[in-house]
Amino acid sequence: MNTKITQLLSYSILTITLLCRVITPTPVAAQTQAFTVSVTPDTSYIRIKPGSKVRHTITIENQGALNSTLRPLIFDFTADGTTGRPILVGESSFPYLDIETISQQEITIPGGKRAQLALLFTVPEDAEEKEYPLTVMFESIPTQSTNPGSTSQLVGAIGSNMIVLISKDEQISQLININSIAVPKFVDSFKKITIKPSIKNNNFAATNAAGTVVVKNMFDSQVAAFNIFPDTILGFSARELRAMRTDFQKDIEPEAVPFAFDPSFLLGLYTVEVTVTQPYTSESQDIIAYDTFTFFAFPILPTLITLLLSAAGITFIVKRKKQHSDS
Amino acid sequence: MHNTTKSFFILSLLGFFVFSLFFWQVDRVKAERLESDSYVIQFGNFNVTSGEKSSANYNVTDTVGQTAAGAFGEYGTSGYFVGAGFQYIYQIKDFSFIISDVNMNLGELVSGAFGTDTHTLEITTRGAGGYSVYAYELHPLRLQGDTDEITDTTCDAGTCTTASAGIWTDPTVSGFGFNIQGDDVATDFVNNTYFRPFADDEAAAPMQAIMSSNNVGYKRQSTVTYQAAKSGNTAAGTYETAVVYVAVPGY
Repeated sequence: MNTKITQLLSYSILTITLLCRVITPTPVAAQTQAFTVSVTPDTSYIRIKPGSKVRHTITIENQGALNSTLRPLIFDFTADGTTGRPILVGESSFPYLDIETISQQEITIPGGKRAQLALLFTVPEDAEEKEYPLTVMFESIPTQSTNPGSTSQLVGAIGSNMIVLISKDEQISQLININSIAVPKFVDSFKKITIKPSIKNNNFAATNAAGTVVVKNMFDSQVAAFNIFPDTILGFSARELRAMRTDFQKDIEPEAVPFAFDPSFLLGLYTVEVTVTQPYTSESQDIIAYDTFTFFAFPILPTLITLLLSAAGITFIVKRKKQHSDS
Repeated sequence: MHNTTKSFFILSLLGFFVFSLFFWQVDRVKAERLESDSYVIQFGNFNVTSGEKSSANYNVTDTVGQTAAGAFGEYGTSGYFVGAGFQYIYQIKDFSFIISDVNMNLGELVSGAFGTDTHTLEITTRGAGGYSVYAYELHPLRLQGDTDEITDTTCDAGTCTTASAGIWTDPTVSGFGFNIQGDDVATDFVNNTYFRPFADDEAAAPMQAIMSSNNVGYKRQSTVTYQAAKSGNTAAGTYETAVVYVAVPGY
């Protein structure tokens, strides 16, 4: 009997011990709520003929582990006149999208999944030919904070740009003028030269930059040459041009770099020639805009030192002569 | 077999085939169109194989069996480039933005000490137009259910603004502001003692750029530090606001 009780007790203790090991509560690590979202494409160029409908789709991916709920909002933007970074100006009243319905949507995306926002553009026959730079912003809707001590929430928003052109025909702007070629009048012979040409698109539709920037010396020999990077210049806006990086692979989009060159030595008069040509084709060499700028290169520091020494020497000689004449 | 029978047999076979040619129509093979009473599926192509493959040393995606897939044109030579085929989907540019933690907790503010919190921002953009990240607050730190506020900082010298950071190291100067350090941050954040107040959306202040670049960027990271200090006569309680970060790609 005692043996049986002992056995029963042993088995009970063993069982309870095993059960405890199995059901020991492990601490639950609260997941940090983050905003981890990507959108595709980043920028689209959409041409819509009056009297037609066009569908455009933006894919949103939640790259985090937790659900994310987003609300789409549509903003107008303008160019900043120098770069391609949009300046948001406020919620849009673009007439050819059902903006009210779009902004009332809530898109909940589970962690690691994608969703799509389909936009249907409906343009009437009598629509004005015009360009509308827009940004579709996906703004997170704050969820209940998982941190009991938290006093504030951060809201993330990510944009996808759409440059919408209402036009019967494809618009290739020839109304380009060169605003400026920002090079100092005098440059140091030994220093790197950076050129910042800026162009203005006077057409209502966006266009791409194309052409060359060439630097020649006073003997008309070329000292530097660049192809212009095909940046987009929105309608009625300006942009600083960039150069196409020369060491790129033929099927991978090249990088944009500044117009900069670092010669070993420059001396004399140099001319910068900016030639803007028709975009999209290398066959046409139609020049749309052309301008030049001349600068003078000399060794600034040695010249200054020479001038200072000369001035000191002349002063010394004049003083000596005066002393002699006084004595 | 007699020659006659043989000949008759061969002739019969020939006749049968000729007869078949006239009266049997061979349908066009529609190998890439599947349909029934309730659906039609049209294929642009029928892949031999496709998908994601990987091992310890590589990750590969492939699509085999497309028509006219490949690169056409050449950057810098032909003036155009066309990437035809499903694999060029990877050249369609995406834009990603990460805020590492969406909860801000400045803790219990005591006189003479700062309450702080940090998190990171990360941007990846494959577009040559670059990106901008803007920030603004819905309103200053405000007591829950009341109107008492911890006003936005003007820093030690009283001169910092939403567009220009200033040094703020004195915890007896009350306020709320932020610092940002890392890739592509605004240059007025000289080091981690320079702070700005957030643009106040309630006062219609324009949001300010805090991170930006003109070019392609991969995992560009920055660290945001929030800082708040209270004055001696600040009412006790929980103060809150919401800060909005807006990431916009360039074009």
